[in-house]
Formats: sequence, C-alpha cells, structure tokens
Amino acid sequence: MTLPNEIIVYIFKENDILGREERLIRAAQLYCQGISCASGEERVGECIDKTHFQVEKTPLGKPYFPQARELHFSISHSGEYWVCAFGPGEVGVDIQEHTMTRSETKQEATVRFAKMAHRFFHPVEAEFVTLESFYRFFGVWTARESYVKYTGQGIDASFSEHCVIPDTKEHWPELTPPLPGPAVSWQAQGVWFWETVFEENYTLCICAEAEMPCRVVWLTEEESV
Amino acid sequence: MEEKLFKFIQDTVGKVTGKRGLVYDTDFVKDLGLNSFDIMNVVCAFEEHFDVEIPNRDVWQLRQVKDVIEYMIRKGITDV
Repeated sequence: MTLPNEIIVYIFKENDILGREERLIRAAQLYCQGISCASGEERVGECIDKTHFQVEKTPLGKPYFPQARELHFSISHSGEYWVCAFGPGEVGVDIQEHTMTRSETKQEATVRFAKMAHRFFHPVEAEFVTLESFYRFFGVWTARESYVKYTGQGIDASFSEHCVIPDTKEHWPELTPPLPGPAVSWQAQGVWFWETVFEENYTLCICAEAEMPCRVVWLTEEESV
Repeated sequence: MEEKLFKFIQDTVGKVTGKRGLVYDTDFVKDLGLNSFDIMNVVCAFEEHFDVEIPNRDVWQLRQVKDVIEYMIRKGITDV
C-alpha cells in the first residue's frame, strides 16, 4: 500500500463519546482513505476491516498494528485533548497543556520548571529553558517526549542523555508563545521536529525521520463517529 | 507508616495533578489518566520533599500507589 506522504495529527476531545481504541481506529481509517493497494485497487478507509487496527505493543511499550506494520502512529493526551499522529514512517507525537500545580503562581511555576529542566533535560536544553522557562519548558518537554516515542525507547535511564535541540545557540528554534501560531521546525539527533501551539496553552510536537508536510485535523464528535 | 505514606501520596498527587480518590491499587496511568508530565511532576515533588533522587529507570516501575509505598520504604523513608 502507498501511504500519504504527510503526517496527519488527529485531535479528539477527551470528553467525546468515543473510547480511545475507537478514536485510534477512526483516525487510522481516515488516514488510509484513498490509499492505493499493491493491486492498484483503491480502498476507502471505511472499508478497511477494523481487525487491521488491533494494537499490540513492543516490549518497551511502543504501540503498533501487527496487521498493518507499514502504518506508523503515535498517541498522546493531556488536559482536554487526545491526539494520534499517523505517518508513512516512524513518528512520535506529544501534546502537553501548560499546566501549573494548584495554588502555584506563574512565577513559582517558572522557577520549578527551570529546576525540572536541570533534573530531566540535557544541559544544553536546560540552558535554553532557563532563558525563558515557562513556554520553552513545554516546547522542550514535548520535543523530548515525541523523540522517545519516535525511537520507541520511552523514558528510561538515558532520557537525559539526548539533546533534542541544536547544540549551538544560533540554531536554537524560536519556540512559539502560548497562543496558537505558525509551526516551528528544526533538526537535532538526526531527526526532524515540528512544533506548534495548536490551541492556547497546548503545545504539540511531532518527531519524524525527515522533514515532510504535517497537518492537524480536528475531529468533532459528529465527524469522529 | 504505610498509612502515613499513603496519605502523603494522596495529598501530593492531589496538589500536583488535581486528581482525587486514590486507593492502594490505583494505577497512575490507567486509573488516573496521568501522562508522563504529570508523573514527572509528582516525582519531583517527592524528591524535593524527601531530598532523594528517584532514577528515571525506577520511575516507570512505580505503576500503582502501593508500588510507591513499597519503594519509599525500601529507600529507608520512615517519616513524612
């Protein structure tokens, strides 16, 4: 099968009536709409049997479709949203709401995030975050998460060893402010990152092997059933 | 001691994530829906309170409230 040469992120509201498995199947069907099979037969996503999209996990926890190994996906959730990204190659996705703990001020959260960056991030990332902790923290956090989902490694002892931004300051990405805006992309660790604030106070990052078109598709309850 | 630790975990998770209703068997991901960011926030709160470091490799072994209690006791934490 020939898959679309783009990554599509499907966004669902957590409070819709669908379960997570149903959302994933629905998104997989949408991504596969119109793909061509080796036989040349055009398949419509709706017609692809749901059994194609039974999920299994690798020993390290990365989900995959054993009956559709060529279809790559990644899942994330935070706050009000649940998202899955589909692509023709390995992909990792992460979203994160810009949350603070209860009764914490933004200034206190900023100090805490700088500490967390030094605890969990690569030293270069920690320096990058320290300059403007609050929003850059979420930018790096989602990039790190998307990277470990891309590799399938997950968060392990080596989590802090990989730097997901360029080593040199002049190549550091201009991470977006808290309001929705254009996506920013950069390369690090031999892979490509694409990041956007898709809704106020929600950062989303994709990690893929190489640069390719990325698209965000919102699925309302009506569209997703 | 276990009860004290349980209460501490309950309070910390509530303060950091807003999630309530923990019991000993509560799974942080499956039952509370916490994501990695939430869990790292809770880990940081524990580390700061007890002045210990919980290695990343240990974090994902702590799936349920009771795992955390056992882990803290193994770490020699005797008071909250």
